[in-house]
Amino acid sequence: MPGIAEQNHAFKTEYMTPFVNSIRGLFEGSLGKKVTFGKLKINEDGTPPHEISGVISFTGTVMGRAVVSFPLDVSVSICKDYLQMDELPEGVVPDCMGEIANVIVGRAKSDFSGHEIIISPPTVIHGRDFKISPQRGAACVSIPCTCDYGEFQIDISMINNSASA
Amino acid sequence: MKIVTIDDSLTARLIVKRTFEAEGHTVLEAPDGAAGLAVVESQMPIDCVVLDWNMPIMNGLECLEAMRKNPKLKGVKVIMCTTEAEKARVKQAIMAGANGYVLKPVDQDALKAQVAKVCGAAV
Repeated sequence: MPGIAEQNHAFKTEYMTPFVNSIRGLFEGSLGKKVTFGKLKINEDGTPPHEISGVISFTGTVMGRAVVSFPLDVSVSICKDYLQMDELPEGVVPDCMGEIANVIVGRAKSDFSGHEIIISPPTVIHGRDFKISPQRGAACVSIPCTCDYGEFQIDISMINNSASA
Repeated sequence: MKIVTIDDSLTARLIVKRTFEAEGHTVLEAPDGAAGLAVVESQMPIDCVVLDWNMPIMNGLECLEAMRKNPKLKGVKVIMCTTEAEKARVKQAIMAGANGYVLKPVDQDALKAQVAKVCGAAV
């Protein structure tokens, strides 16, 4: 099977590094959970693999979107630790996953040196019966992640938009 | 103290509320800059506003600028609480009148220390 770099998709794999660093910082720094990253892969149809997905779009000198997707049980565990609460108020889990996505993408943004990027507030989607179209001209690249809570995934689709900025 | 948390994330507002209500302070909340501005104006005197940046309707920077232009609100202490970590963004907020800056994810002790420093009071 060809590597991502050999496949016919417009995507710079170095775009993933800020997101990996940001996830590591959040999980290992703030939540105290070691996280490991699987091999990059192309998400051909743009369907997130888990039930709760936080979607953030960005515009500027890079354009695209990031989708952070969590199983429900993992979401609940993360939310309890993030809020430091054993009993969660009703409705807070989706919001918390949106905030987690916001923190991951927002902190990754600062690692794109030389770029001016504006991020949208997060949108949270339940279920897996939807597709998120990749940024036009770019592949959707997935990083499977594993931590003590379980598995989750981040999908990134972005292009360099510097010429038109 | 009377503190207002302005953030579109319920989670972020909950963290601020729990942090300061546990210390006996009053925490009011609003989900966007426009609603936050209305809360601050109607609930004066306010000791401190903890303000997110990226929000719908009116973002945090616009909210901060509106407060600084309003003679009744221009003295309210404002701490930006955001994922915006670039130096240029921090500078932009300080130039617009922010008194402090805290990065998300929120470290509750760091937030308390920042509020204490900005407000000149024990938290």
